[in-house]
Amino acid sequence: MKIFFIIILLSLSHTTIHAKTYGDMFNIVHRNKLYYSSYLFLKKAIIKGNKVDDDKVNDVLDLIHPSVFIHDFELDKFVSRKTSIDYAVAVRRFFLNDFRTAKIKLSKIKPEHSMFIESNYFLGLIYLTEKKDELASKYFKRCVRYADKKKRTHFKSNAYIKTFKNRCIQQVSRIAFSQKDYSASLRILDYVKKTDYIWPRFLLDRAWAYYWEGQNERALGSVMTYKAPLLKRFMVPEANYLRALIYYEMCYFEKAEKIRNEFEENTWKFRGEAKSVSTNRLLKLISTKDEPSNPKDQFLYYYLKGYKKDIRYFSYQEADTQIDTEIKKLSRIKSLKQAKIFLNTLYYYKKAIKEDFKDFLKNLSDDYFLQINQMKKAFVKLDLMISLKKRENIAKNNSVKFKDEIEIKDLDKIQNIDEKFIWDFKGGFWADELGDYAVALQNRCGK
Amino acid sequence: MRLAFVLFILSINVNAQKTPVKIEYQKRQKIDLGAIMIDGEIVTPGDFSVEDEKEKATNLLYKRKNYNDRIRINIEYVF
Repeated sequence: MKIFFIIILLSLSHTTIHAKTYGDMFNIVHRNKLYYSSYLFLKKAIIKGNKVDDDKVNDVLDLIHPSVFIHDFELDKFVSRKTSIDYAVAVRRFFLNDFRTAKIKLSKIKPEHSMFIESNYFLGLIYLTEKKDELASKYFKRCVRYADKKKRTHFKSNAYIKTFKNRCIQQVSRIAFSQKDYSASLRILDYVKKTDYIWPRFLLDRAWAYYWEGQNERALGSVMTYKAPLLKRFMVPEANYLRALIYYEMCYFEKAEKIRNEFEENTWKFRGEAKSVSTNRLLKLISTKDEPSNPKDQFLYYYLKGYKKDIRYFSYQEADTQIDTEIKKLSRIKSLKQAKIFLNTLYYYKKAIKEDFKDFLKNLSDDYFLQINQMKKAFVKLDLMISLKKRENIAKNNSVKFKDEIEIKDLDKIQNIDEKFIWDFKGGFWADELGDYAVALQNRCGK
Repeated sequence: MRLAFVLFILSINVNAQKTPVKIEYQKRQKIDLGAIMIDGEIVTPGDFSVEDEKEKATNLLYKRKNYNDRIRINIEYVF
């Protein structure tokens, strides 16, 4: 077996090779930028106890798509050993729900390790599931702190690092939110820059925090931002519901009803698509550049469009390209019987990554379906409350009150706005469309 | 036919007598009604009003209080 690997290496490398151990082979393959292939040698080198360069191991762990670790049965050999690929073992254990082992392995990863921020994110998630919010918050905060220190590598883009940082910020904010510390939750969310593509996703978090703070104008302004053409893709059913809820609580019943009707027409009607769509259709829809003409496809297309800049999409694409390059190089020597086994492993990795991404898309659409159903139930109750108000007003012979005559609120009464631009909203947004909007609407209840 | 039926009934009785059933009655239990503690608020009919019902109905409205429902999805979608 070792002989065949050396033959492969000889055909790949243009330099003179003195490969005596699997560790040497790992170094050579790594030098040739065959990272997925080098991972195979890395595991063998560790089993044999060969010395491997930690920086190179970090490179491999940094570049290889985590789906490879998740589906790699061979990693189970390293569960009870401390090795340089503990991160990979921990990722697999995490996805096998073996949180105990994952926790042990991840907590030993040091700050200089390439996967330190990801490790802290995982640890935070594990403690969240164990309902240990304080510990979870500690790890998420550490993830944020080290994300600022992590330098962009030739493998990981700034966008990737920022995504992890922002995910950690969101978790810290959500922990504060669940502890009813809404002002802290909002303050933490301010760390997410508006230029980050993920920023619109946090608008709903902001809106709920504003809502519980009693700042309905700002809560409404946050979810209204989704009406901007560029951000329509982020408009989830819950954002629409929150708009309706706030209008209801401010006694703008017509507006609340209108939003409910829009939900029925634009979302509820298409829920079946989210449930029954195939993984291949989802993959096709996320990859397409042009808007489809079929309204059913459009419904899914816009939802998926919100994930086009997601790290999961571009890490899938990058991994696919990298494996293809390696397969191409190795195919030159495919006449060798054993090389075929080697290639098969790469094809297996390619398939595992693709299948995982397809599963991710399917889970997304299933989750969308659940969200729609959950919001439908919420809208039914809200609708009932609106009907009660209607009946109440009719009984009081005050049906005029049901007509939504907009009452503008004095901007000075809206909290936390340093710079104010009074702007008459007629379906348009500021040029950059991203901003902290507040809707200057007077509460009409009790009039 | 009638005779056969009578014989059948008699055979059941004979079989039933083979396994004597022992019936145990529960012993007399004394309950001190005065010592019973009841949890909850003591209310009068006047405490139930339309306003309370409205408040209860408003509380039924969905309002996000935490993100526990998103933890599973965060775990599954890390990468």
